[in-house]
Amino acid sequence: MNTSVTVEICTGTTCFVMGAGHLLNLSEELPARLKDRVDLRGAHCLGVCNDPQNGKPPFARVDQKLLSDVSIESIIAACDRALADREGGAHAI
Amino acid sequence: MRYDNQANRIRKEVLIRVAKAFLSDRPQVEIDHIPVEMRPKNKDASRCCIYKDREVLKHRTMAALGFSVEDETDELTPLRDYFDAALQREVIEDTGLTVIDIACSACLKGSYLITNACRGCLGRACQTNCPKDAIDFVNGRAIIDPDRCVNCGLCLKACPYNAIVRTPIPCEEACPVKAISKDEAGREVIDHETCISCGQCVVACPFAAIQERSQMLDVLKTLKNHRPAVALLAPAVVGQFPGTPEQIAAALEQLGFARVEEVSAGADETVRREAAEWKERIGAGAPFMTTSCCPAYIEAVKKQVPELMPFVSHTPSPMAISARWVKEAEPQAVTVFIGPCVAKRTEALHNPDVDYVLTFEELGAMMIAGKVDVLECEPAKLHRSGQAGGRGFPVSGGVTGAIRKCLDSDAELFKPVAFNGLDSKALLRLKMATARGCGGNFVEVMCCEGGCLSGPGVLCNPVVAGRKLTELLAAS
Repeated sequence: MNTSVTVEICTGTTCFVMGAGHLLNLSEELPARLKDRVDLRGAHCLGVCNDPQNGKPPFARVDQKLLSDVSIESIIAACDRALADREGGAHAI
Repeated sequence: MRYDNQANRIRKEVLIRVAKAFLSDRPQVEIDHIPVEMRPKNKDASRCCIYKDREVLKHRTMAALGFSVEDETDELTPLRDYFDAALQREVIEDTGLTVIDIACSACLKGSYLITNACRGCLGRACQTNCPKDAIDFVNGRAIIDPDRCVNCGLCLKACPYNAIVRTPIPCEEACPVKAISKDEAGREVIDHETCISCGQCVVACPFAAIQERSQMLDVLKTLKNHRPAVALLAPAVVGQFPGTPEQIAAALEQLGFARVEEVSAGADETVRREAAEWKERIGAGAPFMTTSCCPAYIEAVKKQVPELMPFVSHTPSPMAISARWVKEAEPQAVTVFIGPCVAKRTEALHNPDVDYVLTFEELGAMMIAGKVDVLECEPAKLHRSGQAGGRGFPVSGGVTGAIRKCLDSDAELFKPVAFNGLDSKALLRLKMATARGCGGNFVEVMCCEGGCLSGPGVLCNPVVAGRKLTELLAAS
């Protein structure tokens, strides 16, 4: 069973300027429960900032789910939710 | 969270919208619409209502156009008039920070507050331990008499219920020189005679009520008119944008800059001259010499500790040296220093070689508005690149390390002392050093704790930027 959650922080110029540059320390700020369970991928633009429907930059994707106006705390919360959903799903099976 | 929060993001959004408006076909209309577009009808308000938000945003836009909110004479003047006036501006005459009075929350005076967690207990340790008899009990609850309270904090330590909290005034606590204080209405006012333009209050205020007066529009106008503009990129650029330094140079060229020069080259020259100056001064019997590269520190010496002036190095800052080189070769070139620093604007105001100063925030806003993505840029050449010494300037200890390397045989005599961050205690220590020395003969002073990578205008987490700088220095 895959127990790690994928996090992509957009590093396009718009997201970087609007705050992604402050989120790059995420791997070191993860709480112990999430260490080794987050697969952090970065260094590319998610290409979603042109459509205002998507919300405000900076954007991140946690397990394919797009989050807008993210902070370190909101990404951590999304990781917790994603892992809880998966574990919940596993119990159902 | 110190740098990245919603207050900071709103300030950047205003800058982006101003730059977008400038580049649009109908800038005056776009400028007038900024407050309405940021706080549209039927959407949430940050404050009491969208109408107050819009008024605050109007003042933010004024500051982003380079105006001081305090200078507003007619509240009905539309933003487009300020925009037009900004386009007429030929030279920067003032750079002082501006307080948006209606954005200021007038934070509570009196640092200690008894919350409703107080149970009016029998022990009353707060009252017993108060040295000034400032705590009374009313309706079974402790209250502090602000006239008698001396803010010692003993009651907070004594309360077994954690019912007492300390409520700071963030801007006043951040200011190293007590230049910001309340008016009769409780709102903050900056005393520009005392202010050293360090920008600590700008970062500290959770309401983003203190703003810089941006020079972004002046730079956009210069680029649009095809005047040859040279970008002087501060050594603290490391980590501030995605992509390589060469890609950042390309992005700047795409915005219209003729070329990009690394100020780290100027920093290398500062090191050479400062090392020579140090040898000469110490050889002549001076007890110590301090650095001169941090403009907020220099302002603090001028305004707070003038007796320290004879001990400050006369070597020009890296920015000053880099700008001089450009102006010597091309007197008609427009020099734009781009860095993390608010106080550089004050330094530039007194230096005719530097025409404009931008922060990384403002450059980022220009890139977004100009649809320039650094990661997609083909690398361009950086001119006048620096060595490891100059590149190491933006962290505390960087200048000291570079000077030490430059001293060779005299290095044994070199006794450095670092002031990593300037506050009132550090200023007092520096003041005392003029009479009693300071335990060393070379004093490095950085106003921002950690160095320029922690400056008010940075876009990258200082820890991450510091790591990238270490990698770069290992490769230099």
